Amino acid sequence: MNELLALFISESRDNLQKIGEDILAYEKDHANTNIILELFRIVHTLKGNSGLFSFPDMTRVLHASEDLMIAVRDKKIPFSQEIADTLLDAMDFVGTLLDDIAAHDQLTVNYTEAANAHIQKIQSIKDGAIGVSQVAVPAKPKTIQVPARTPLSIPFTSISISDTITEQEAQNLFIEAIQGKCTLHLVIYTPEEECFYKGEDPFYQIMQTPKAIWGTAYPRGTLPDLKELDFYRCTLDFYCVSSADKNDLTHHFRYIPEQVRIEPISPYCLVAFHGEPNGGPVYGDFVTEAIKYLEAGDLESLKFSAQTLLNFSSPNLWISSALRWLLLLIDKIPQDRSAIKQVLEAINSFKNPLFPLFNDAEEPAEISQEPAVIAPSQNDKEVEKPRELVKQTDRRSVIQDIIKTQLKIIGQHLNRPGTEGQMSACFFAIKGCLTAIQCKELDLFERLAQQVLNTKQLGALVSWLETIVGPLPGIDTLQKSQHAQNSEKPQYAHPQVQPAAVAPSVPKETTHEESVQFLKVDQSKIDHLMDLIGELVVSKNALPYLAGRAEKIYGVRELSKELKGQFAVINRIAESLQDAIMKVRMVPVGVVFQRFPRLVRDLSRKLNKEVELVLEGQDTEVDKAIVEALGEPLIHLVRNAIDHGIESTEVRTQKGKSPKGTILLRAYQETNHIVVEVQDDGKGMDGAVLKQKAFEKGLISEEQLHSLSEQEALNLIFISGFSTAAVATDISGRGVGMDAVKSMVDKIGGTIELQTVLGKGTTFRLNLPVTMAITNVMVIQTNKQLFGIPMSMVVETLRFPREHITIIKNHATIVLRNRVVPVFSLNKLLGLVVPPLTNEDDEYALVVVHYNGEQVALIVDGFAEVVDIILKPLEGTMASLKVYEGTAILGDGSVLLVLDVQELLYAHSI
Amino acid sequence: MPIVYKKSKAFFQEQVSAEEAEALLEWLQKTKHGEIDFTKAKHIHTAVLQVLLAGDIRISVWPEVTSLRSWLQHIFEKKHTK
Repeated sequence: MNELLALFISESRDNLQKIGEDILAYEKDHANTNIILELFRIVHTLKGNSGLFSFPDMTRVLHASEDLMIAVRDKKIPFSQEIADTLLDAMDFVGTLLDDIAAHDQLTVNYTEAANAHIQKIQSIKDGAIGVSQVAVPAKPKTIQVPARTPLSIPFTSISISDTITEQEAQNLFIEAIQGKCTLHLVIYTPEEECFYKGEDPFYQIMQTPKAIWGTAYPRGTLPDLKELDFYRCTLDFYCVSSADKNDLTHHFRYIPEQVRIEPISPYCLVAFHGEPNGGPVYGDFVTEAIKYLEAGDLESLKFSAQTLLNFSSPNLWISSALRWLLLLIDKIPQDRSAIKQVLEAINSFKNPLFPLFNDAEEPAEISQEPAVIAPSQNDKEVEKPRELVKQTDRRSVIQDIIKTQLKIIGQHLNRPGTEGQMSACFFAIKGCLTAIQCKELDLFERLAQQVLNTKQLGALVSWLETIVGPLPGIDTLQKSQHAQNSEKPQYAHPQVQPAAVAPSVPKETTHEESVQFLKVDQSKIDHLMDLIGELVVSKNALPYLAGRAEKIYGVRELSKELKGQFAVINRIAESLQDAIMKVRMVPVGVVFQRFPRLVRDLSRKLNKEVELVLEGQDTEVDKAIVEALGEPLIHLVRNAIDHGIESTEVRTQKGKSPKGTILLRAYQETNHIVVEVQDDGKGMDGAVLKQKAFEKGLISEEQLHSLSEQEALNLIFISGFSTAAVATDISGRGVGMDAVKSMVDKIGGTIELQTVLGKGTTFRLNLPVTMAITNVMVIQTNKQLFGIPMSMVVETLRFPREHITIIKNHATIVLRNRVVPVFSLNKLLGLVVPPLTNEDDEYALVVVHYNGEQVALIVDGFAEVVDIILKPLEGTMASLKVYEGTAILGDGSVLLVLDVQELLYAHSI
Repeated sequence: MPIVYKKSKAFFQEQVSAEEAEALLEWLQKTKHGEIDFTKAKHIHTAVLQVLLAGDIRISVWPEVTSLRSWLQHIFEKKHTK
């Protein structure tokens, strides 16, 4: 994939994530204008980037979203849940496009209709055309022409294309058009008023229309006097006739389809006469005679008469052109007498014929019969009064925009030498704005401007300007971006480190943080580095082995000593290296948590429950592999909590609980592992009910029904096929959730615990290793083979006298600190028919391990050492051997099989 | 300079961008019946076009570039006939 495109995708995904978060944050806190400004900024960036790669459907949806955000920002429409939904849907759509691009380097599906549906929905909310709450995506989206289908006023009824193409070209086109080989189209382009701020130039755009043969522009309504003219707002409408295919025209205007209407027009507009005007009455006779022939249906005589006159006329004359057209019409469309007559009348009146623009059947719009008035009349002004009032408000917002932009530029240049000229120009522009709104304190403005130049501080000027033109909310953000630019931070910064909003009054000292530079690196490169360091850590373990051989086998004690010394150095460096790379791999748990506000919002609305999500400890750092693996289990847990845990609002109210349920997602570090908790204040779980259900489903025996402890009963939910929900919803409750969660957590070397209080709520506690890359294993020996057991599983090791092992109900057990612990022979578990060995004192070596919240002792032949290894999962046919977690290479080059104790004991129990 | 102002005449040259609109507006406010010479103009930004349409101008020369000339003639000849 093109590197730039890959960067675009990665950056856009980060942006989408941030947009989603900001929308949810703004939904909760409408008053915080910084959020909407930030939102607007990100959407704008995303739109700009998508434009670079020419994904018009994406750009258009983002453009429409941006417009909606502007309307919200300017308080033209109040923010609502529906707006949030619409924007989130639109962003999901953009995400879908990104997925497609990421998978195929380009868009493989035509998304235009879907994009149109989103744009239409956004547009309807923005225009308030329909009640906001009634907005819904139509099942079958209509085409984008819909907004344009509304009656449109065209300020002319006919045109005569006489100057841009030659007569020969016009006639050829005419023939093609009447033969149906091409269609003439009128493009009606109504640019939006704010288009200049988006860098658009409608006049340029329309002039570039493919195969344009005629064009003009009319002011929208009445152009005001120069004094009142707001030239930063586009109020011109453009009209262009083109012989291009409609698809080509649609493609040309693909970024602004909602502003353009393309209509087929009659080919008769091509009938226009060129040439030297010469003559007059002499042709009168011809016309009189010709009309007679026409009325009598004698086209042959008419043709002969016209041809004769043409032969006698100079080809460059206007009349010759008219006669050539006449002959063409007689030849090609003899049946259209009225057209021929109109040409004859045009010759008589010495003017170009004016055929109607649209064929009657095709006439698409209400055509204003009134010609456009360019110069304003007194009456017009009176009629336009309400519009003027609106314009005043718009004008103020434009002035605010201009001032904000100028302040931004000043901010960027403040500390750069040699930019005084640019700053003066900006001050001049602001002064112009102040003059335009008749501000009388221009002297004060100039003093403040001078002060800015002297002190390099914008604060005072901004405050004063706000008293004149109203709030300038963007300035905080603008200043922020100014800092960001000053610090020359690379463009593609780490997504987590979005600079926080900095108020103008914040002292400059805070900028030291921004000098931190971030580098965005492909994950696979870090993984590769990690693998290499892992190899290094393992291969360094060969040095003590070599030292041992040097001493014992070759008897070179000195060399052995030196080797050990070198090993200490390499060991230290390798450990530092390992620590360093570990830190690089550490990412905040917040990365996984980010997706939950949206999930909780959508699910709770779907289930008609009120749920608040509280996130804690998002900064807790975990290895990225753990973070990646954590997503799925957490989704299951949170879904379950909303679906089964939290009661409906009515039930909660009846029980005297707060109507709004709370789900707490918390992460924290505990000594050498990470704890992630999902806690809800819902109905909790009843162990007795769970036992009964499990019994009914045949998952437990009747004996177990009575003997299982409360905790064991609760753990039943982790058994495959267990589900308590009477009806499975489409969200959760199909009985595959909790066992899937458990196996996923097991897979990453973690454990899951459950605590519940009936009626009060449930807490799931996930204990996870901080890192997965380097595994700390205890090497044990049995039947003269070495095996590894992950240290995370090991509770303790001990020597236990053989005679103290007692048999209870055919199970070997020991009593360890007043607790009965079942004992298994590892040889037996591994299918080895060799009895375990004891030492000289007739003691067994026991490894006590965790198993399903209990402790189990394994009899082994002996303990070796504890080593750090890089665990490689078994591959190929070996991958199905679940009792092994993987393999590792030891210092002497031998392979160590690492046992999955959980699986081993589980396999034995079934 | 995309627009050169000489007494009552403004000469448009090359690409006339939106930034010229303000100065043109000021000039038109000061200059009654200002004359516009489009000879060397290659393109005129919409904002500038709007100012010209709102102003009291006379067009003395149309652009040499055919397409721009044709567009401007259609736009302005509705209002002015030289």
